[in-house]
Amino acid sequence: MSETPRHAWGRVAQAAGGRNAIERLVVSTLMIVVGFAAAITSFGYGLTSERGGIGPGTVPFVAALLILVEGFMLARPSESAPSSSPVGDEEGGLAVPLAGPSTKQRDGGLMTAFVLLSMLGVVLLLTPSVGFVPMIVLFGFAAGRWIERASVFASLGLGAAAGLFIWVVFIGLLGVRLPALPQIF
Amino acid sequence: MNDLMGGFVEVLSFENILVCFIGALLGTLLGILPGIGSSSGMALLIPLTLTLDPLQALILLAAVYYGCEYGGTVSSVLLNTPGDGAALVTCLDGFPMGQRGEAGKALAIAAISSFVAGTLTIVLLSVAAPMFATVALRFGPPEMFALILLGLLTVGGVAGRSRRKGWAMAAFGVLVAAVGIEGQTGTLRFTFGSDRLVSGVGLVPFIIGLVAMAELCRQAYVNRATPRTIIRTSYREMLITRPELAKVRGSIARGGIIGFIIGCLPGAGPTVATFLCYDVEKRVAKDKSQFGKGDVRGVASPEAANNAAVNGAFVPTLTLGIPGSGTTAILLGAFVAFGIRPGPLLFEQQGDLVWALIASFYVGNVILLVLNLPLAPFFARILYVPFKYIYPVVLPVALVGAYAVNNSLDDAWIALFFAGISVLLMRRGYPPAPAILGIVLGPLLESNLERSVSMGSGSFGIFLDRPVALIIFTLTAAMLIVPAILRGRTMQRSKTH
Repeated sequence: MSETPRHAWGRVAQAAGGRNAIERLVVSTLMIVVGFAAAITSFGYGLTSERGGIGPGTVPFVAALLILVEGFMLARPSESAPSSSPVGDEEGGLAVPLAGPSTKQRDGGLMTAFVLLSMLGVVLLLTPSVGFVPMIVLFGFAAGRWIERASVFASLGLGAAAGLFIWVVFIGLLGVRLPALPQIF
Repeated sequence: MNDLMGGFVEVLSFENILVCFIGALLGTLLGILPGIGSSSGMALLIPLTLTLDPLQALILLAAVYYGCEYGGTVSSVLLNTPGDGAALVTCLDGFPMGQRGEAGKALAIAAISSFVAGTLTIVLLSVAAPMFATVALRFGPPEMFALILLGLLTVGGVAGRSRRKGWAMAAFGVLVAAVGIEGQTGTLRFTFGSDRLVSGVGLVPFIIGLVAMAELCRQAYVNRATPRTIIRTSYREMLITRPELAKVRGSIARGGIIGFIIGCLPGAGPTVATFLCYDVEKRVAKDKSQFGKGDVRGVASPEAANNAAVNGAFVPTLTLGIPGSGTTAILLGAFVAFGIRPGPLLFEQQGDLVWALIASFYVGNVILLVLNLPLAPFFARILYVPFKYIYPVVLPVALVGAYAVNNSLDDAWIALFFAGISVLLMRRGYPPAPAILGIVLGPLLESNLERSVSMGSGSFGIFLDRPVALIIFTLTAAMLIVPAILRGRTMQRSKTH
């Protein structure tokens, strides 16, 4: 008998057929919605021009249709979960069977990824007032301390390394005019 | 040949050699680190090169590409974890060699094979690329449309495990490319009333988000292993005997030639080349018993093929504007970001730049050999750095890189947005590279289709009157149908047995 998940999200996922099924549903729904909306909008731009040639909507319409069809294909229950590759594969998706994350790691992975991206979103939101460098130091510290469970010292080191890298490379070497520090400076 | 010599004259300046050295070094380091492959590495570095002279920037990015291919070998041999897909085959014999105390030898063979095959195929590239360009110069809009469609379908299809998913990603890229003002009629498409979207989605932020940031986020949960069993290596082990060199001579030649041809095919790329060459090597070998157990030919052939395919992939990229692999799709994006449009006219309009770039490949190969033979034991130490200490530093660098393109927070938001989408899509096995191809080739596809139909007075029948376009369409159809037929036959056979 399968073990009942402790967390509410785990129980919801189990009831819905597993996290894999939910992920598939989310991605396929997104594709169908985007594909459908883009197809309708493209149709509005015109599939043919006044001179009888192709209109500004033709190519996006075909692209949208492909995405729409893919969304429906993905929604089929027979679509299995892809295995994750442990390498930064050059061709962008080749399975490497040598090593890989455990199911538990993979299941928790999406959350980790979105927490990281949300943290970067906060960095961007606060950058106009606080500046890039302090926010990136904070990001490095937070990622080390709370996502990787590193020690305070190591997390501070990560934050400092990230901030220093940005300062040296982008401001020092490349001369990019970054909003680096709070506006009071 | 004079053009190539002119390229050498151009590239053999202190600054260009330094840039090539930095690129090869960075590429090797990025390739060694499991988690940052050549695609992500190049996407990360594009914004850092925008202040450079275009030639130097392209020399650096190309050097990163072939440096990565070698770097991947180090982690294959010492850790049994390939830095990227193309280095996977090297694990099969490289790691067993390392286990029996011959890691240094495996790395030296890999470096020599890469150098020899690289040098050989640069000559082939110098001959093949102008020939391709001369033929392609005769192409009109219908032929170019057919060719771009072939590129989108082949790269879109071969880039990942599933052809269908590759095509969907290519379609996604084409759709993103449609955002903004349309070239022919001036229609605003998918701008949602926002002035910021009128000029379209920035190519570099799109690449950074879709490839680099998404891959780093993915690796943050995939790449959790702490390296424990890294094989040690020393300089003394790197000495290769004459009989060993004689044994791999044929393997390097075969790997080099086959790798180059495979690399020239749009969509095939180094990964396919290494697998194919390893298989060929096993077939032609008299004694097959040692393959998979640490046969030196099993390292030499895929490594030669890998480097050769990298050079081969530049043929369609430079001459037709159609990338030969996922990473060259990103490089193509870099060309476009610098205002250079690869294609048949590139050799005529920017001949100096192209030949200098090709010459830099040779210089880069020499640098890699000089760099990799003595520094391999040092590089091996990098494998001890866990990925959890890398991404918190590199991820914000990618974000700031997206900002730095136009000093715009909007670009950083765009990168973040596409990173989120890409994370979700990659979880379902959708490869990001075809989307890059879609955004680069989408506008070209559209303009050539428009011009073709205009030539036919509004009729698609124009394509039937153009034999070359018809041949390319037939080839495209064959590439779509033949694998499906073969797959069907294999399934039928397995059912009957």
